[in-house]
Amino acid sequence: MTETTVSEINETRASLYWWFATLLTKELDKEQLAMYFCGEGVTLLDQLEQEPDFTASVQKIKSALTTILAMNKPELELAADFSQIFLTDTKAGAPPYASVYLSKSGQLFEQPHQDMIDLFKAQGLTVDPEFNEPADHIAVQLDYLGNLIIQDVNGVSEAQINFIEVHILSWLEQFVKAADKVNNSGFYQGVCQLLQAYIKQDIVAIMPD
Amino acid sequence: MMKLIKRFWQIVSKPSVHLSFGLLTMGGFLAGIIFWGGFNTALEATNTEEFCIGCHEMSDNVYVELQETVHWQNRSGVRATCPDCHVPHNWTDKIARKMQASKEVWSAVFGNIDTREKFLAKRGELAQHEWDRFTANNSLECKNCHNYNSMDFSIMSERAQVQMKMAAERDQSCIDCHKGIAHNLPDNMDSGEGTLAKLEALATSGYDKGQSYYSVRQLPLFTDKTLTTEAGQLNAATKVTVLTVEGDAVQVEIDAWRKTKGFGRVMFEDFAMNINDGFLTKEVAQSDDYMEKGESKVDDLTGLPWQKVSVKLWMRNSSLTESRDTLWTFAKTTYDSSCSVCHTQPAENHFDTNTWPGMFNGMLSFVNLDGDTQALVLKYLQKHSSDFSDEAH
Amino acid sequence: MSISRRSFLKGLMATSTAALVGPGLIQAANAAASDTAGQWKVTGSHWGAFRARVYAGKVQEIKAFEADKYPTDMLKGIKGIIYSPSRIRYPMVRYDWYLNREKSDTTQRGDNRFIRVTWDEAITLFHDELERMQTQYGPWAIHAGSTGWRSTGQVHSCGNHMARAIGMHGYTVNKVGDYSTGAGQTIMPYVLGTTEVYAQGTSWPLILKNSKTIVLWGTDLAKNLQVGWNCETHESFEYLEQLKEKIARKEIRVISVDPVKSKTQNYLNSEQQYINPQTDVPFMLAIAHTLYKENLYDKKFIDTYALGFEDFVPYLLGTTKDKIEKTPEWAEQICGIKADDIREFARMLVKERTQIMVGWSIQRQQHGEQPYWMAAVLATMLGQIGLPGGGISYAHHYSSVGVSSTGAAGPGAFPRNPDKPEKRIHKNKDYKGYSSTIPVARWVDAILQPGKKIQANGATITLPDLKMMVFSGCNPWHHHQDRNNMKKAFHKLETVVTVDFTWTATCRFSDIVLPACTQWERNDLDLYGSYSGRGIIAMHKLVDPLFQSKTDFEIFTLLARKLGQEKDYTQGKSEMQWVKELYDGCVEANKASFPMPDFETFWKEGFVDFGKGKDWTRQAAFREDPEINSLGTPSGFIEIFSRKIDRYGYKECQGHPMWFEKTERSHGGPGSDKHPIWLQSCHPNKRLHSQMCDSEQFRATYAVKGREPIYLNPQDAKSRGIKDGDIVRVFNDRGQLLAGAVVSDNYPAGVARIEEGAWYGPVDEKIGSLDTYGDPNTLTLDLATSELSQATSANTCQVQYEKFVGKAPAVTAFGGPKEIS
Repeated sequence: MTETTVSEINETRASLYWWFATLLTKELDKEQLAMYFCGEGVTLLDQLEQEPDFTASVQKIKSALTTILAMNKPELELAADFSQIFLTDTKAGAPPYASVYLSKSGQLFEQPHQDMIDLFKAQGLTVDPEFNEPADHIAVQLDYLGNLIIQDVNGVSEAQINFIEVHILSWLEQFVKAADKVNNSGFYQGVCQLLQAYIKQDIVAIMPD
Repeated sequence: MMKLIKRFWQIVSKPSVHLSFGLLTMGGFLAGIIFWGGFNTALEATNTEEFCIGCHEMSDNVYVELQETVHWQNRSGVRATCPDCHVPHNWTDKIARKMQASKEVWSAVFGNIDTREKFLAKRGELAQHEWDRFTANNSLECKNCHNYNSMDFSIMSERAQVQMKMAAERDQSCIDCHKGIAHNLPDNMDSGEGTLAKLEALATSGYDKGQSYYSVRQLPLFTDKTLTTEAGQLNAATKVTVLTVEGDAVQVEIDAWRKTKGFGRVMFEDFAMNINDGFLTKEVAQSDDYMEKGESKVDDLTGLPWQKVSVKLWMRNSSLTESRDTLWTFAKTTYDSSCSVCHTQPAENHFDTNTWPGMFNGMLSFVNLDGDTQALVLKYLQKHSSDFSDEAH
Repeated sequence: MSISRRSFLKGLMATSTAALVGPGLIQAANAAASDTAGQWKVTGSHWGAFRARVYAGKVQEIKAFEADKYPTDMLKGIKGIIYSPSRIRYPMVRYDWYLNREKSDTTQRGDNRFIRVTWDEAITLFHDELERMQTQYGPWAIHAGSTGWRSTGQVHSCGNHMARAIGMHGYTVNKVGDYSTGAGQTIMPYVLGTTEVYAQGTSWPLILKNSKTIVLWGTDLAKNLQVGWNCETHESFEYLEQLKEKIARKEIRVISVDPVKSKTQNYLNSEQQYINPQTDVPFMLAIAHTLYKENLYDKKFIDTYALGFEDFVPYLLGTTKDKIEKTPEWAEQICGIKADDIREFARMLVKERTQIMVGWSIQRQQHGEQPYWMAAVLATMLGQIGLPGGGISYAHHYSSVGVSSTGAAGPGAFPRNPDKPEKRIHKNKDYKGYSSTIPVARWVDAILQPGKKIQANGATITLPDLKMMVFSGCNPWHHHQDRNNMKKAFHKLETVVTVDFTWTATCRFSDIVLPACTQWERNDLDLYGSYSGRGIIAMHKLVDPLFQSKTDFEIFTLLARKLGQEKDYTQGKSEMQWVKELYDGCVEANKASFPMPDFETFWKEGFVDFGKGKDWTRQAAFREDPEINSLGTPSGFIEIFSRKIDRYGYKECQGHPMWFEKTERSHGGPGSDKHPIWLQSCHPNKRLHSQMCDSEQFRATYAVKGREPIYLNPQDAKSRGIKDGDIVRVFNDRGQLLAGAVVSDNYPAGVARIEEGAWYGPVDEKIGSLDTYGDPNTLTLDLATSELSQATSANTCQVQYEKFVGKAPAVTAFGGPKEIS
């Protein structure tokens, strides 16, 4: 660890959050998926697997990838998994919005969404209109978290800890549980579990003593 | 504390023309609510023309317009003044009316119709308010002078006769048809008859003896060439053959069938087909002077006896066209565009001729077609129904 | 704050994660508006007109339009529709269909495995399928005609958009009739000369003034008047309130002929004449028998205004084939009303001015034509048709019928028909001997038995071999009967396309699902007051379309663009230009009678009010002059006997109204030994059909343990060990469902109610699987009323129920991640 500076750690943390954000934003295309069969994706997963807290979820991802590889059109199979969990509705899936889990109504665009909007507004930010998703989408939150980390690259801001605790951990567990109920290859269930494991470890690490 | 109260009084008692006008009127209402008798007296006092034109909004706008109309100057020498039409003659209604007027009074107080432009901009709303009231009381004030029972229909024009008789039968509210009789109409409203003009535009002119034509709309029929005695009405898109042309009038022959249950007043295009060609008055229908009777047979599907007739009557030398094609094009366009508001729109040939009248009546609730257009569209649908369509359906 | 994912990644290119991370989702905002409270906008809906406060791009609160003095509770459910987690967020394609197209495993339909596609790809797939159908088969293979209660607004009228765009491509199979009034609207033109079910009725003030007795025959005004076909403003409720007062003062008697104590009865505090379900005709026949035998009927009226009475009387007297005299004693055995009470009822009807109001429920059953016809015969015998406060009506529970019409013109609609039919791409009109129009409720039969010939309204229909269904704003997986039969049918379809804003069961069983936005995410206008034509309401877009949803106008414009006819489709006009055009057309149509402000003023004000209409009496013109103002029947008169129908030679709808035993019936009727309970599936009290069922919070106000309520008779429940709040399994040979028990005195023994429109949520896509939420059409019978209408018979349905024991499966209809136990 002597070589690693605080800023490097933070850069890694940010890129991992952004990696999760990318996976949860939309389906992987053919090229992106290929990187998880032989390429940077394999390396990253192997690295993560070595961390005991992550082993189980990474293995879930890997086994899903093996299953998918055997299919005719792996990228479509995975896209269908993505849809089934995140895109259809709450019937069998896990909509990636904090409002669904945190509001009494179970509706979209509830207070958690407004909180994110207010947070963004205060800092002159907005969700990319091309994406056109509510601001309490998990990927938007993770993207923002990455930015918070980089903004304070040489330390750990109060804002960062606060954001993780208030805006993400408040619903992540329910979200991951909901995803787990879906029965398919298990790739995204693995990703969600890995995210949960990672963020749990991260918050312990950055918490002031 | 004392200081504050004193200042309050100063403000309230400050003289102002507008304010005192408003306070006077509103104050009168309040007093009236508390003391019935006092209110009544106050009301009588305001029930005069002077009161009405006391504000320039009235005197400069509606009052001058009234002076241009028959209600101001006419042969009989009777003049209608503001309260004759606008304040109900019945005591309880009067109170209700006064309460409603408060809105206009407020307008005067706050000056939002104090120029001609502002008045014109608001005229629609004010007029609607009055029309609503006339509609609600069935034009009570009009009928104080113009009573259906004392009308002499015989001196009216032919079209007026038909309309007025119909109105009289239903004791229709006068304002339904006579908006703008005493004051100008709101700007965005004119009394033009849109569809009627469109239909009339389809008519050709100069009709030849022995030729057949079709009526572009519903038209009055007469027994004589002077067009004085009403004989009935020709329906839209009905075939007539011109027998004689005499100035403003043409004598036409209508070949039709009629049901002989009842008076046999309604003419149909063909045997056992409820395609309406028009109707006759009871006198004409029962007389042998205007028709030749042909074969009689019973329609098996209803059990009703039908009779072929050839009717000879007079009508105005206008509103006929040589071919039904242009009428059908107009009707089809109307059907396609006006009748797609609801669930679905049945194809013309989905129903048979005699089913269409019932179905069409049921479709009219949300489409707004005037009587002439309705009659035309219905006939179009019937003439393109499954009885006339070769297309498998 | 500055956003760094992109620039940061550039520096990280060397590390392993860099390639795996995509572009960021957040960007700098434009100068933010300083709006802190939001803006009030006006709009409308079937549930009512309302104003909404929109702040930060979200609908924050909703309040009823001020002119609506009796707003429905359902306004509380509006936000839940817009922000429902069941919203369709992207164009989706069923996965196996995406892989294998028409060769896909269709038994997987309903398994919820979809894939997201771009709009471009979705429209291409949609178009390619239409193209394949037209070239490989023909117009007979595509059914794009089914419609439902589309959202309100005349520009985005979704059925019109579908018909226009698909019509520009080629011909398709169409439907006639609807699921609400199929039998009524077919029989009544033969009898009274119009559909009656969609006709304006005598104005309430005249009824309140003149009627001494009002008979509510299977109709629940207070429940059904909450919603309207256009933007509803609930003017009728003022009259119901007055009626309630008159009942209290004993000035009017109101009697509900109904097995159930209705919401209206409870509200009005009025009387009930209990009757066994589905036995209205025997009761009516016995009334007619009494009137005839006791010489209480109006012979003069019949002579002047009706035909065929003499052909009907022999049936009444039992001198025709069945040899049964329709005496009160005979009827008592069937309808459960004492013979003497029947006689008393008959005498009461003729005593004073009597208005009969018939609901739609009694024609949504097997032989549904008969009670409608027979009620008209009764009204004819009473001789009060055409008198104010007398006679009969079939629609006083619907869309402000009975509130007098202003006569003002409403706005037109976006054109349903292509402007240039000659430019239609596929001109093939060869239906290969199949019928191009089918009765609405027979499409499932068509899929299952193509080529079968059926009789319908005097014609022979050859059911087409449907391969592709297109639905827009239409949820047949709610309104059609017998889910398991539908599953079988859907196994046979090659392609199903659905346009909707929410994941209805129809979407789940579709192959291509296109997300429309809700009606509150677009600009439009509508008539308000429905039949009263009270005014025009502006429908301001409250928020932009959520997610990737689009307006119906945009969706079908995209399809037209694929056909190379975008401009012909839109006529080169934008959404707002269409709104203005329809408004201006309305101004033009009204210019002689109702002045209207210019468009800008209207749009700013939000509405134009036409005032109150004039009171009117139904059939008064006919009564006054039956010759000139003849009815639309074949003869022009009331037809007690219809020679036309008689000539059709049908078994289950003959020349005059008759009693036919039902396939299944409670209270000792067929099938009641095995399935003793009659299941009534009437229109819901807290929804518009299936609309608003997805509104989570509002649904929670009536659901029982997360399930649709089943209303039960206390003794029936007790004998099965069921308490209020229990989960109940309801079943018959056609299907099974779970529902939540509500035990209530309103329901007599042998009767249960599950309101239609409850979303279908089977445990899985397999045939026979348990419905977890409580859609009554899991149990109903898919049987035609008769050869005349071929309409739905949803109210002919026998079931059994029991207390559900064990762990109930989670509700899958909408779900939500919360466990329901």
